[in-house]
Amino acid sequence: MTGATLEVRRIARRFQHIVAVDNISFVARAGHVTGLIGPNGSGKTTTMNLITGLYPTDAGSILLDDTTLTGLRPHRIAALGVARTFQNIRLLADQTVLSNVMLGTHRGHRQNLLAVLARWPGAAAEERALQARCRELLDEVGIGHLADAAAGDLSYGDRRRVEIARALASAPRLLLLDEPAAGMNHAEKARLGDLILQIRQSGITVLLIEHDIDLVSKVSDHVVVLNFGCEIAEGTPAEIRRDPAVIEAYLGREDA
Amino acid sequence: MTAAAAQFLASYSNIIDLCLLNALVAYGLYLALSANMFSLATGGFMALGAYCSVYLTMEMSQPFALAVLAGAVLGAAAATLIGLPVLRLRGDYFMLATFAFTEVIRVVALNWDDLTGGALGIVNIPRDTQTWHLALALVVVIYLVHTLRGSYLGRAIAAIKQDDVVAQTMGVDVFTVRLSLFVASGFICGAAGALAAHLNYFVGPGDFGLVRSVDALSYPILGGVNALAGPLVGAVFTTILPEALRFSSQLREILLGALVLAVVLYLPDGALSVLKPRRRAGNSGGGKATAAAPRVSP
Amino acid sequence: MSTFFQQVVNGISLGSTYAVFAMGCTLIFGVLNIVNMAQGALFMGGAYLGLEAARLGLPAPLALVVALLGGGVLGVLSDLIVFRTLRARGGHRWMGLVASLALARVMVGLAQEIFGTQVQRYPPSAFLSIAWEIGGVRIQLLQVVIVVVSVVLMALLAITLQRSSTGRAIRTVAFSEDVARIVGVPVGRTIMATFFLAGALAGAAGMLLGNLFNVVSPFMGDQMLVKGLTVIILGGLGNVPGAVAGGFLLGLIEVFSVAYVSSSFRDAIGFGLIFLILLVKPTGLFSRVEDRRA
Repeated sequence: MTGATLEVRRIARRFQHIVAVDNISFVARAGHVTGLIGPNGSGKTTTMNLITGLYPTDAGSILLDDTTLTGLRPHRIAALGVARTFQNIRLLADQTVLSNVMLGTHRGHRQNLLAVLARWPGAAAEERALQARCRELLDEVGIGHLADAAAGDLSYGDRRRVEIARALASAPRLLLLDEPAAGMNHAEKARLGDLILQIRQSGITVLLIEHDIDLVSKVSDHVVVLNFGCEIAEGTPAEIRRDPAVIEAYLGREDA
Repeated sequence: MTAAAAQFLASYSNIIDLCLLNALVAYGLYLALSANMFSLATGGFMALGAYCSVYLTMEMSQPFALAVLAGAVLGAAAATLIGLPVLRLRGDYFMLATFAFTEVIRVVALNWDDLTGGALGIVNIPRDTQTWHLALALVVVIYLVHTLRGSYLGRAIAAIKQDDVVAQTMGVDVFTVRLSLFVASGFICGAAGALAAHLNYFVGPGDFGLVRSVDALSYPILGGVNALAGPLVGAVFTTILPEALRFSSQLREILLGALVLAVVLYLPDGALSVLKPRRRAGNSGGGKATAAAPRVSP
Repeated sequence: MSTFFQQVVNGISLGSTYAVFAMGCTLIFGVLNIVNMAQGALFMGGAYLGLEAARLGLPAPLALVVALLGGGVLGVLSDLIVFRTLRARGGHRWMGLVASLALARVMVGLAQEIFGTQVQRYPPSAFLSIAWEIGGVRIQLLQVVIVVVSVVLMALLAITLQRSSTGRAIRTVAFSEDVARIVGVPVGRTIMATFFLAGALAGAAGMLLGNLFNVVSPFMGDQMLVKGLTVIILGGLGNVPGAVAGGFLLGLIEVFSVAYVSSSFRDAIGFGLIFLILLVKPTGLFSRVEDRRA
């Protein structure tokens, strides 16, 4: 698997009179982990929704390698190799973990409707192969033993892992993680960090939205900081930690 | 076949035909409901299928099979025309558009005297529909629905029903899947209308109004849309019960309405859900979180 | 030219009843976010209650009050019996739609049992059949009364929504149920009040239209429901002023199409409009902001 480079150029999005994303540009380099941080309401999740096409952009453009994503519908963007997880975990709670992950393989199926309805042997073989792949993925994210449990029965941390496995099942070139550590305890966060590095090693580009600065510092090659819908700083994790603008955005002005 | 069974079939053949026909309609609607499309177009589709097929057999002397197929194709074409503009809008508009469609068809049927016989309808339609036609159609439809449910497309449909944002982000072309299902629904209901017209010797505009659409909705909802047998059970139950009780048409309305209310209020997964033990009574956190998540409709 | 003004007069009197009815439909949609398909049955119920009251010898204004309050009570009952339970269950919102369809069915069946399926008529009133001819245009007192009553109801609703605490609560719940809870609005009671208002408007519209056409039947609600839904699409779902404008517009369109096109397709024109609006401007003709409730 080879990652793709994501390039965000001066994008903007407003909701009626509220400007959610004002002017954001950054590059998530192929095969790297890029951290996207910022206080609540700084436009992180909106940026992710713009990249995945859930909202149209008002201005600017988004490119994946040389393909323009802006204006494409979400399923087209997914087909180009963009996968994501959700901040407010969105699993089909009454289905099994495996079945949830299998949804990620949707684009991997090559058999058409007629082959399916005629019960063409190729369709069954394809389903079996993808199922085996999904079980492997569940092993990789560390919850292989839960494959046949109902997704809604899992712990918070495990559900986040199912979401990551589901995203990986689509064989993405770019993986967007929206606050994957939210609600996790210390040990779970540590394991999540390892998992992200493992994903990086497989060559997939990762864009990580996260509040936990320690986690971001541990796994990111590059960090972009947003505030009030604009990017205010970028650099290596060490540079970001020293940046006065970042410290001010997080801690507030001393004299305010 | 024993004499007793033959006797039974003869005396109940009408009600059996009706059960099969309604079950066919129920699966037509099930396809729409399975992707959260609340369709009130059934009456309109059936009217198109009925009038089109009757015109072909009675005026053009075309074979019955061709007439049924034409009725089905007309239903599918109408579904395409409604679905293309409206399925991109939020669900309420879809429901209202299908409702309007059924009423337009009813009003046109009432007034286009040359083709439809107006309010008096068309009589002396050849009784070409045989019980085995209905049974075969139903078996084929159930088989196809069953196969679809077990495939990756069925998984995508289930995802659309529960959370279409997730489905889109996972690469499911939600609009095309919905449109295809609605067109299939139009096809089946159009065929059912053609079969119904050639079953009763008569068609009139009153047969296919909103009442028909609501009736059709009540089958899968009474039986439940989560199990494959749900629409069948709902259709058979709804067809037989009023007949068995020999109710007047008013009492039938009250009974069916009250039944649907009771099921919606107390068995929201349909009547078949009483057979299943309740799973995961305590932990529904994930489901709640999913349901409460903001919907995005790009 | 007199035909033209005659159609205007007829269209306004017809449209005012549509507007009254549609205000109730759109109010329910705004607050509950579902289309209540039982509004037509409440309309029919109001027409019968007004009819029975008139037959008992009550003067027309009192009969109208009976229809109005009766419709409101029926609305509250439908909330208590059906929608409240459904909300407590927290099911899919389609279930509310199914329940309202089933409720309408039960009410129409009951009306047939109680009042029979025959069309019934209001007792003739010498007073209301007074009519004037002005420049070839015939204006009935009945039409004037209907328009005046409708306008009074619109004004009353506007005042209720804008000035009263219940109205403020209704607007808050319509904006967001969560916000309403946070600021301490009693959501359950507010929804019940909405059902009362919507039912009362439907009941009053039933009596008005029953008088205008002088036809009362158990099935009159189905037809009216169709008009109401057309109007709220015209005006934008949940938009009360839009419903008023849409009601008059639909009334005028219908009357003019009968006069200048064909009487038989009058009912089809409304539905044709639905499609047209959905294609061109699905948020309604009178909305300025983009519909954000998805």
